[in-house]
Amino acid sequence: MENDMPAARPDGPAARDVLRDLDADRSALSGRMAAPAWTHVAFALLAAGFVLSPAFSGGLRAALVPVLVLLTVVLLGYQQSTTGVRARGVGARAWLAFAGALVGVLVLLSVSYGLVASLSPWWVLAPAAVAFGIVLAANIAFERSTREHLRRGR
Amino acid sequence: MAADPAGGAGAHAFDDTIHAPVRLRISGILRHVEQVDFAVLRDTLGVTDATLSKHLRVLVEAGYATTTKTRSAGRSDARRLTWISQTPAGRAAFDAHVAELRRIADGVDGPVSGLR
Repeated sequence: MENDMPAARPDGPAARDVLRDLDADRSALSGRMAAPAWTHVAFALLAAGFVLSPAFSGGLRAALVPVLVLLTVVLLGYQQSTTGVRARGVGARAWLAFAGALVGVLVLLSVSYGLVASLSPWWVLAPAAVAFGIVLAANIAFERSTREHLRRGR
Repeated sequence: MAADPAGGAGAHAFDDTIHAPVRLRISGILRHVEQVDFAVLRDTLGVTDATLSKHLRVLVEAGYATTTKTRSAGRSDARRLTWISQTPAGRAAFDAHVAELRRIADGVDGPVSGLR
């Protein structure tokens, strides 16, 4: 298929073949969209870092949060450049996973503040571990949904 | 609308620039992504650098695609990623072209003896 000759206007079966080829190309591209597994773990660690941040004293916490935000932005850029694809749409399931993870991390962050105030800073390890799990699962779900969205051509 | 020797208004949507096999496949990929890296597009289509460059040039000159270069986060050398995207005109032309292909595939529009 490496010619650039003006192609003939196809008949029905040829048009169906062309449309099938377009579907196959989308499937092939969606198969190449997988980010390295360690990036999922890295996002989960960053989320756990946010939830852990109340355990640190004011000055350290003030320095930690901007670093975590910066690392998140860098990781997002890396993930896009390493897959070589910037998706047009990701689908409702992906947004649901993202929203669920965001709400989950914010709730766990407030739980962390409560634990630091009422118990001990060490207790924030528990919500941080939960945040790690939630974001890891959500990130994998987000990627799968995005790939499925592309494969279906939506 | 000009007279249509194919006998249907949809024939005007049949775009020879896009219908060339490699360009149709490029357009089909670009239609569903915001941007795609040159190397990923090349590997997905299974064509050579030269072939992809040649067909991309045609699409860019037709106003159907654009390219931008950015620094690569995944490379330690100075090479840059070439991101390719579809223009609104390219999207409209591809959509019209695919709609016409679907019409033909569904048997709404029979094959035309006079090839364009």
